[in-house]
Amino acid sequence: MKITPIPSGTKDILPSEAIEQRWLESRIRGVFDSFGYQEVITPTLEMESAMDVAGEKRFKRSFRLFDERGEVLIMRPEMTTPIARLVSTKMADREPPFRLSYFANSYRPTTPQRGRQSEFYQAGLELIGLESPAVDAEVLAVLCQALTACGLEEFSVGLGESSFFTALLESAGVNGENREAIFDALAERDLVKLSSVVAGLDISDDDREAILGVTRLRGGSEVLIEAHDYVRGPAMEEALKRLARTYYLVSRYGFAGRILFDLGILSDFDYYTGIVFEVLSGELGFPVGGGGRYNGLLARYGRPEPAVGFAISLDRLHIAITGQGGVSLPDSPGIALVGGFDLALDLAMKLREKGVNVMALPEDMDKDAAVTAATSAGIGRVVMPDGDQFNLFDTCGGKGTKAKIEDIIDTMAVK
Amino acid sequence: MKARSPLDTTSLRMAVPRGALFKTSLDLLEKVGFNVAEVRENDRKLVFEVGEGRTIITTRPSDVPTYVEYGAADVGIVGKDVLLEHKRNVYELVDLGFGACRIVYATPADRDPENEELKHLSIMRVASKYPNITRRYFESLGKQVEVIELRGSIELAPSVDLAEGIVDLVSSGETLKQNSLVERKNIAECSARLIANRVSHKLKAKLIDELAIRLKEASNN
Repeated sequence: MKITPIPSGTKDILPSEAIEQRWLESRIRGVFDSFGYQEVITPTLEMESAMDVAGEKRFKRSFRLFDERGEVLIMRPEMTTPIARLVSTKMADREPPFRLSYFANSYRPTTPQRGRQSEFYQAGLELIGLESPAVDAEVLAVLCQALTACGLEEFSVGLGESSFFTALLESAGVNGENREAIFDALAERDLVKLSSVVAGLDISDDDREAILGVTRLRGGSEVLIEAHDYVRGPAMEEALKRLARTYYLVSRYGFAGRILFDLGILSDFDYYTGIVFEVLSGELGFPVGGGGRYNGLLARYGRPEPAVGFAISLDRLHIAITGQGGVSLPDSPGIALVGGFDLALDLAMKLREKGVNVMALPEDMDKDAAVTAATSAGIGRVVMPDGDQFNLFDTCGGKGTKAKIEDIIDTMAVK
Repeated sequence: MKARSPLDTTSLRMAVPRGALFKTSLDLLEKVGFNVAEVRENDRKLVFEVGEGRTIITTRPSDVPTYVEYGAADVGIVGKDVLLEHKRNVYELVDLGFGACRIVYATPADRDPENEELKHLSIMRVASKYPNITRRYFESLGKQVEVIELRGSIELAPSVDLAEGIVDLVSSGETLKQNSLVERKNIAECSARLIANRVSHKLKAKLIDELAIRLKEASNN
C-alpha cells in the first residue's frame, strides 16, 4: 500500500474517536446553550492586517498565505480575536451583552506532541459587554459544568487575577524595561531568572519579597488571606475583593471545590486584564483549557466593551477523560441488516423511519462476516433474513432469536 | 511502574540525570532527607521507591526536561545548558549552584575569527553539540554561520578543518587550552537547576515549594 503523508501537527480522526469527540462536543454544547450562549462560525482564514490589530505577539508564529490580490492571510491562531472583530463589525448595530460560543479548529505551527497539534479543535465562549465578579463566576461555572457534563471527574481550575500582580509592580515603581524583563522571565516560567531580575531592581526589600512571594501564591482559599500581606494600595485590595466575591458565587453553583487559587498565574496571551484561569488535570502535563477577562481587546477593534471567555481543547479533554476511565457513550440504537440493500429493503426503510440507524449489508453475507462488519462499525446488533422471518443477533455472542418483521420494528423503534 | 492517582498531592516523582551531575545531585537529595543509598549502588535499575511517597527515576541528562514537561516526573534536576538547548515548557525553580560551567564560543589561538581571512569566508562553520544555542547566539549577532552538530569531542573539529570555531561547555578551560583553542565569547553561565512540571507546580504546590526551599538552603552550604 502506498503511504501518503499528512502535514506535521495534523491528524486524521477515525470513527471510534470521532464519535467520542462529537459526543463530548454535544455535552458541552448542551451546557453552553443552557446558559444562553449562541454559536458563531467565522472564516478559517483572516486578513493578517485584521489580526494585527490585536497587538498579540504570539500571532507572529502563524500559518500565512496569499490571496489572489497578494493580500497576506493568516490561519486563525485562536477564536477570541476573530470574535472581537465580528462583534465590532457585523454586530455593530446590536446592543450588548453578547453570549457567543464556538466549536472550531485553530492553527498554530508547533512541534507536535500528544495533546499539542498545529491544528487543534476547541470549544469556547465569550461573554461580551458585562463586567462584575458575578459575570466572571458564571463563566467559571459554565466551564466547570461543561467539563463535568463530559464526565471529567478529576480536575481543578487554577484561578488568578492578572491585575493583582500588575498593580503590585506599579506600586513598587517597576516599569519600562524592568517590567518587561519580569514578564519575560514569568512567560518562560524561569523563576531563577525572575529572582535575579528582581534582585537587580532599585526597590525596597519588602517590595522585592512581595514580587517573588506573589508569584508563588497558590493553593486553596487560604491563599486569599495570605495574599493580604502583599496588598499595597486600593487596586490590589480591589482585585482581591473581586476574586473573593467571584469565589463565593462560584461556590453557589457548587463548584468551590474545583477552584485552586494561583496568583502567579500567567496566561499565554497578553490581552488578559482581570481574572485568568486554566483547567488542570493530573492526567496531562499541560492545561486542558483556559481563559480570562480581556477588557482591552475590543477597544482595539473600535468597540470598547469588557469581555471574558475561555476555550477548552477537545483533544486534551479527550485524553484526560480517557485516562480517567474513558468516554461513556450512550448505546447506539443501530443495527446491521443483512440484505438491507434489496431483500430486506422494506424493513430497512421502516426502521429508519422509526429513528433506528440501519447499516445495510449484502444479502449473501454469512453470520460471522456480518458480526465482524457490525462490530467494526460500532453497531451492537445484526439482523438476518430467515425465510419470511428474521434472526436477531447480539455482536457479543449468544444464540439468535427468531422474530417477525413487526416484532423487530417494535423492539427497535426509538421511543 | 505504578500508575499515579491524578490528583494525589502527596506523592512526588523526581527525575535525576545519570551523568556529570548524578553524584552531586544525590548528595544534595540525601542532605534534604531522601534515602538515596539504593540509587547510588544500583546502576542498572531506573526507578526507585525511596519512601515517603517519593520516587526517583534516573534518565539521560538531556531527557530530564522531557519527562518533566510531559508530567511523567513532577520535578527534576538538570543542567541549565540542557534547558537552554531544548526550550521546554517547565518551571525553573531553583539554581542549585553545583555543576557550574559556561557555554563559550572558542576558536584556534592562531586564528582570530575577526581577521581578514575569516571575513572573506562566505559562511563560517561552527561545531557544537548545542545546535540551537549556537544558532540563536549567532542570529542575535546578525551573523550567518553553518552549524555542524557533533555528539562529542567538539575540540577536535577546528584542528582537522571541520569547522572554524566551536560552541561548547567548559568548566576550567583546560581542554580548550590543550587543543590550542581560545575562548572568544562567554555565551551563558550554567549550573544545575530544579525544574517542575506546569500542572504539578499547581496541584502539588506545598510539596514542591517545600522541596525547593530545602534544596536551596542545602545547596548554599
